[in-house]
Amino acid sequence: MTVVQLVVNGLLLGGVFALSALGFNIIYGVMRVVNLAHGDVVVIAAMVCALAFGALGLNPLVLLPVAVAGGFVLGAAIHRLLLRRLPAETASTEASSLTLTFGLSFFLAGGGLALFGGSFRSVPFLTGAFDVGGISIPQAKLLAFALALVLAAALAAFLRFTAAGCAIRATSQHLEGALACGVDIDRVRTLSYGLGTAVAAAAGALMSMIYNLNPQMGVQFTVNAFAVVVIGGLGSYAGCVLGALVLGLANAFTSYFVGASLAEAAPYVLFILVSLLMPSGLLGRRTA
Amino acid sequence: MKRERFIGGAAAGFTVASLARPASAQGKPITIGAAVSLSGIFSDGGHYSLEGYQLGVAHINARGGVLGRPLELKYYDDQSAPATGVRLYERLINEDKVDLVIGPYGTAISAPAANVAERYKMPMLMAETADVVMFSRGNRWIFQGLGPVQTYLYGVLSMAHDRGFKRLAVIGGDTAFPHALANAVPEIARGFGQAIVYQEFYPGNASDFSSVVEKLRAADPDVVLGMAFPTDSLGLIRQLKQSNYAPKMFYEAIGASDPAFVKSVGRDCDGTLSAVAWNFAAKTPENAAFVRDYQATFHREPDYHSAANYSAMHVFAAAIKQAGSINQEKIRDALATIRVPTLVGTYRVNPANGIQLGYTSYIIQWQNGKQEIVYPGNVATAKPLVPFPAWSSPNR
Repeated sequence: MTVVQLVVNGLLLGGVFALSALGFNIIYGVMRVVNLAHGDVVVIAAMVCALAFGALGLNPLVLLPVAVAGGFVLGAAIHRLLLRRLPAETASTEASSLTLTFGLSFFLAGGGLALFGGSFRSVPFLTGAFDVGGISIPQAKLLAFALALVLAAALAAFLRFTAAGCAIRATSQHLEGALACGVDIDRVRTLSYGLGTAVAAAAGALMSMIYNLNPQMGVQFTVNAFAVVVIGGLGSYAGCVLGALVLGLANAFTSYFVGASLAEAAPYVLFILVSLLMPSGLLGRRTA
Repeated sequence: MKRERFIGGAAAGFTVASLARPASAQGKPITIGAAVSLSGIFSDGGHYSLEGYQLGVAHINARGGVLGRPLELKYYDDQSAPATGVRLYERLINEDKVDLVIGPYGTAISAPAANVAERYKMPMLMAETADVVMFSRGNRWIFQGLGPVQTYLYGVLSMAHDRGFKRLAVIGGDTAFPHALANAVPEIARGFGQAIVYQEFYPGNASDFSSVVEKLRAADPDVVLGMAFPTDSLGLIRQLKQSNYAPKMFYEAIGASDPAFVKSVGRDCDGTLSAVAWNFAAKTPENAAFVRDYQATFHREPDYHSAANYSAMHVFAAAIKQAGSINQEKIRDALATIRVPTLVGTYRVNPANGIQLGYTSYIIQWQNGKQEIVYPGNVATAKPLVPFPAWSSPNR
C-alpha cells in the first residue's frame, strides 16, 4: 500500500516538475537559449496569483488565461527588446544569451522583491485530496499533472500540424535551411520565447496552489527545469515529461527509503548519470 | 554596498519622520546598530523585527529618550546570509561607530555575529536567538533577549503529557535552529516519560513532504513536532491534508506562530499548535498601547518578533540609564544584572553566560482561523482542541 502511495506521490510530483520544465524546453529547443530567468517568471506569476486571491478572491484557475496571455506578452517583449539585440550567430551567442538571461533573472527576482516583498505566499485553493481505495491523490498536484500532459501534447501537436509550428521546428533543426526557405527567423523566435514564457507563467499559477513561494525562489525552478530537460533530452517534449516523472519517482522513493536529506540530491545524481551514459538524454535527438 | 546604504538610509528617514517626533530628547543620538533579514528566507520574521525596533525607539524617544538623548536605529539588510551579517556588524561597529548592537534573526546568522560582538567588546542583545549554543563559549558581551529553546517546547510536551501521549515524532529543516530545537526535546521528553519514535531532517529548502508524511504515518506518533520555518511549515500542513494524515497533536515551532500564516494556508491551519514568546492577549496597559500603536503605524498585527525586539529597545534604555553614560563596559555590566519588566516577561539573564531566565513562552493554537492561547492554563484564551481534527471532520 505504501509503495502504491509512493508511486502516486512520485508521479504527481513528476507532473509538477514537468509543468515547470516545459517552457524552459521550448526556449532551449528553438533558440538554444538556456533561459536562466525561467524560474523567476514562474515565481512572479505565482506571486500575482497569490495577491489576486488575497485581494480579489480570484482563484489561480480563473487567472490561468491571464497568466498565459501576460506571460506571452512578457516573453515576446523580452525577446524583441533584449535577446534579439544580441550579436547574431556569432560563436558567442549561447554564452551571451546565458549572460543576458542570468542578468534578467536577477532583475526579475529583485523587481519581484521590490514589488511583492520577501514574504512567502501561497493560495489556499484545491488543497484537498481524493481518496481512491485508501490512496490519497492531492487535487492541486493532479491538476498540475494533467495540465502538464495536456500542454505537452498541445505543444507537440502545434509544432507538428501548424505552419507556425513547422517554422519553429525548421528553425530549431536547421537555421540556414529555414532562412533559405523564407522563414522569418525573428518572428519565430519571438513566438517561441513568448510561448515558453507563457507556459512558465501558467506553471506559476498552478505552483501558487502547491508551494509556499517568495520572489527569490525562482532559481530552484530553473535548476529543476534544467535537470528535467537534460535528463529527458533537450528539446524533446515527451522526453521532458518522462524525465520529470523519473525525477519525481526518484525523489519520492529516495526520500522514503534513504532519507529526506538525500532526496533533493536525487535529481543531480540522475543528471550526472544521464550526462555520462546517455549524453543526449532519455529521448533526446542524437544529433544535438 | 551602496544599495544597502540607500535602503537603510531611506527606511530610517521614514521612521524618524513618521514615528519619532522627539518631545524632549535633544542632543547627539545614541545609535543602535542592527543587521535585519529584510530579504531572503528569514524576511517574514525580519520585517516584524524591524517594526518592533522602530516602534520601541519611537516610544522611548517620545518619552524623552535616554539620558536626555534620543535613540537612533542604524540598520542594513543582511539578506538572511550569515556572511553578510558578519560583514554588516563589522561595518556598524568600525565605520558607523554605533554605540550598541542588537542581534540578527536566527541561529545561523546570530552565532557568527556573536563572535563579532565579542571581538570588538560591543554589548549585543540577541532578541532573536532562542538557541543557547553561542552562550557557552566563554562569552561576555552577548545577552539573550528571547526565551531559550526549552521554552518553545515545554508547554506542548506538558499538554501531551496531561493527555497521556507518549510517542513523539520530530521533523525539521536541516539547518541550525531546527536542530537546536530538536536537541532540546529528549531531556524534556524524558521528564514526561515520552519517547521519540521518529526523527528526520529534510533539506532547508525542501518543497515536497509527501514521503516524510508517509514515514510519519508508518511511525504512528501521538505528537508531531515540526521544527519548521515559514518556508516549510505550510508545505508540511498542506501535505498532512493531501495525505489525509492527522496525528493527535500537530505542532509547528516557528512558521505557524506568524499571524499571517492563515492567509497562505486558509482554515487548514486549524488545530495546529505553535509557541510564541509574547502573549498578544495580555491585558497590561503597555501591551494594549503597543498593539494599538503598532497597528496604527504598520497596518498589521504585531507578532512575537515585534514584541521581543520592542522589548529589547526598552532593555537597552534601562541598561544605559543604569550605566549613566555610553560606556560599553558599564552597559555590559548593567545588561548582565538588571531586571526589566517588558512585554515578553521580566528581562533577567544568568550573569555568568547571558542566557535568558526571565522570559517564557506561550503555546498558541489556530482555532477558527485565529490564534488562541491554550497554555499555560491561567492565561489561556481558549480550550485546546485535542486531538487535531481529522481532515474529513465536519467542523473544519
